[in-house]
Amino acid sequence: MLRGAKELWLAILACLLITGLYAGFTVLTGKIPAASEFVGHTIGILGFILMILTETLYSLRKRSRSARWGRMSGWLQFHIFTGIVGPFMVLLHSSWKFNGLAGAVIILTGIVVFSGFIGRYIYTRIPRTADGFEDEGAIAGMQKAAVANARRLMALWHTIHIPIGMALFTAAFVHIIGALYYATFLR
Amino acid sequence: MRDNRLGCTTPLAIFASIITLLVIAGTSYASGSRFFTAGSLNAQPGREIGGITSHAEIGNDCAQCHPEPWSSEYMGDRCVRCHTDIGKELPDQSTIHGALKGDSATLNCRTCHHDHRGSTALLTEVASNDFPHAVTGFALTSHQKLNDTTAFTCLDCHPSDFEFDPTICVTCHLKVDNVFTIAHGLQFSENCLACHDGKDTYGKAFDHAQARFALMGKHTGLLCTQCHLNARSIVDLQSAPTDCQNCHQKDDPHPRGTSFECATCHNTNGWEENVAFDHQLAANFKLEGKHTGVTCDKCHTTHHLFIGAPTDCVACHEKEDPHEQRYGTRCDDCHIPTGWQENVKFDHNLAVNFKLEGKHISVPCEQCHTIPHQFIGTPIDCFACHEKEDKHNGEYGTNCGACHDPSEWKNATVDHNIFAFTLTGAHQTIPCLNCHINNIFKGTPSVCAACHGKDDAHRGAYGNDCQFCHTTSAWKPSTFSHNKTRFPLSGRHGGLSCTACHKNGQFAGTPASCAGCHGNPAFHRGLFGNNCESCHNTSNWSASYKGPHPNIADEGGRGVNHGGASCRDCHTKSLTQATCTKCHSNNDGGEKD
Repeated sequence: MLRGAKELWLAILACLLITGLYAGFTVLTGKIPAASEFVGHTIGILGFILMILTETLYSLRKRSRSARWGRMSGWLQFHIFTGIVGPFMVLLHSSWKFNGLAGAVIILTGIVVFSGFIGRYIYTRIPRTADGFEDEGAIAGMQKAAVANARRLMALWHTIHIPIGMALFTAAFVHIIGALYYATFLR
Repeated sequence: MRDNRLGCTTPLAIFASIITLLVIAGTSYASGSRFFTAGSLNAQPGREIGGITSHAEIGNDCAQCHPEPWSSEYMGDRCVRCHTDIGKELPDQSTIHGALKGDSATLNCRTCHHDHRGSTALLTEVASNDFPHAVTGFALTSHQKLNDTTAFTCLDCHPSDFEFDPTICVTCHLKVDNVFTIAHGLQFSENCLACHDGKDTYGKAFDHAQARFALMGKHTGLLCTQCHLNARSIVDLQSAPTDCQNCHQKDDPHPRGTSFECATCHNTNGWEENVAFDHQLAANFKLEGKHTGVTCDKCHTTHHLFIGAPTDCVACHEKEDPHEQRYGTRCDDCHIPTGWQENVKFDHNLAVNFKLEGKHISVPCEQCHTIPHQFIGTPIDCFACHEKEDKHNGEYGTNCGACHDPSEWKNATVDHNIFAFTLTGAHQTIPCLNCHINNIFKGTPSVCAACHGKDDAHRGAYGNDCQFCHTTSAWKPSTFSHNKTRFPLSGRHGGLSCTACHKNGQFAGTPASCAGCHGNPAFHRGLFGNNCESCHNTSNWSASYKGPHPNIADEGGRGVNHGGASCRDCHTKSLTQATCTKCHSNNDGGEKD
């Protein structure tokens, strides 16, 4: 189970580091890195890759049911870390312009990240083993109503979080295709 | 039962994706693809093209710039549809866009020109280091950093438009160096680009030596305008004359001016500093020998007057001429500048009517020219010098050269043919003194015996007229003809050697009678005397006796013809004895055996 908030601190540290580099480059060039230029583009690509990893690796691990790929708690921490750092980089990629589809993708990203924080909160309401399974022993000591309520919230959260995430990635892919079409293929 | 499907494959996730796509498609359709824009188009008005002055005026007609997905065109093709002037520049590398594009396959309009960055954002954004500004005629070599060391941006010089306003230069450079900029502007005008090309060609690092005129000495401290007066462009600067006179004519103290560049004698360190003049190169009077040690004013007696100084020797040396100008003014015909007495040279062969040849060449001048410094008028006849040496004691006059040449007295070449005694044959090759004993020529006898008397093999027997028999070619053979004598040689006498008759070289007195040589033969026994020719002739000694013969009858009037027998058939030993038995075996009355 998740203990403490190490992944959160690491994510904040990474974000600060990236922010420092971003700020330094901004000061050096005297302008905010445009999304279409090298720095802005690189940040966007890396951030999106992290988001893809966020979306896929933890989900796959959950379904592997094998400790061979590492503990669930570790993957969840990775999911949280990349789920914060990736969107933060995508945010920097936006060059602080939120109009059009690109703006919609940023907004959806923010929603998904916010949703993730809520999910983490609900997730921690139910005691779990290091492999992510519910800790029946610990649950036995809880009020049944509280456990049921947490389980119901978790299910509800999944029902909302996953479609929003899918909407985000769908919009992000359309954005990428559009960027390739206009900026890379110059159409 | 636990649902093991990935979240993205759940119906709800798929539904969310489809809804998202539909929303995007609907929004795009409704907004005319503006949904994909990263920002609004530039709205700053520029020059009018096709009735619009900014991209913003294109509005939602995205196809004006973005080709349809099925079109083969690219965005750049749509750019030059409107910006036709740029389209024409691209293939021409002498233009800005042509130079930028070059042969690159990756550079395109969007590399430098962006839009959708807001209504006031710059449409052109290119790193100044990448921009080939030199194509515009002004390189950015010296415009990399501002005075505060920050990098130049396009806006520093092109604040509102890329058409350059030259006053920008002055505005900025007044901040850099106020005093210089004002002074420089006053001196050369404020049209900086007339001279400056951004490479500092005419800036601080300008090397004046590259402009055909290196600044040295006192020139380095001058103001530019002291030479480049009223220069207003590069052409004006470059056309500044480089000859000294142009600036220094007013300083020229030489009274008659000079055709020389001042630098021929002077240098830039000062008019009086190390004045140097290479007399060897610049003047028609090279300095050699003692002339090199003479101070300039010794010859150039008028101060600062150099051209026109006379170059003839007497102009300076007249007072020193010991010849009193008898030999003209060209001392250098004989003398060299090393010294009057040094290697006095005179080409006797060119200048006078007496060429020096043979031994005359090595004779010291004064041997002939006995009066010091007196050369003209020296007699040229041989006797003037050689009278004392005349071994002929004046016999042949004073023109020694008629026979002698200057190489050697003995090499006389006398034309003996002018004399009565012409030289022919062996006389031509013998030394003169063989005949002219003791160098006495006159009176030499012309008779052969005078010289050849001692050689006379005839011991004077034929007198002194050797030429009667001999020629001058050789003693032998002689040209003697016996037929001219009283004893012509005939018959067998013609084949005899001379000595057969003329014993011991004795010719005179040789008897002409037959018996002188032939004597009285014993065979005749004195019967016929010495009148040999009455029976014999010189062709055939065997005589035919024609009678009368005692005891033998004359047969038929044909002389003694005793059966055709010869005298010796019967007279085998002498005519006084005869035998018949040589033919007849016995005295049978005439019958032969």
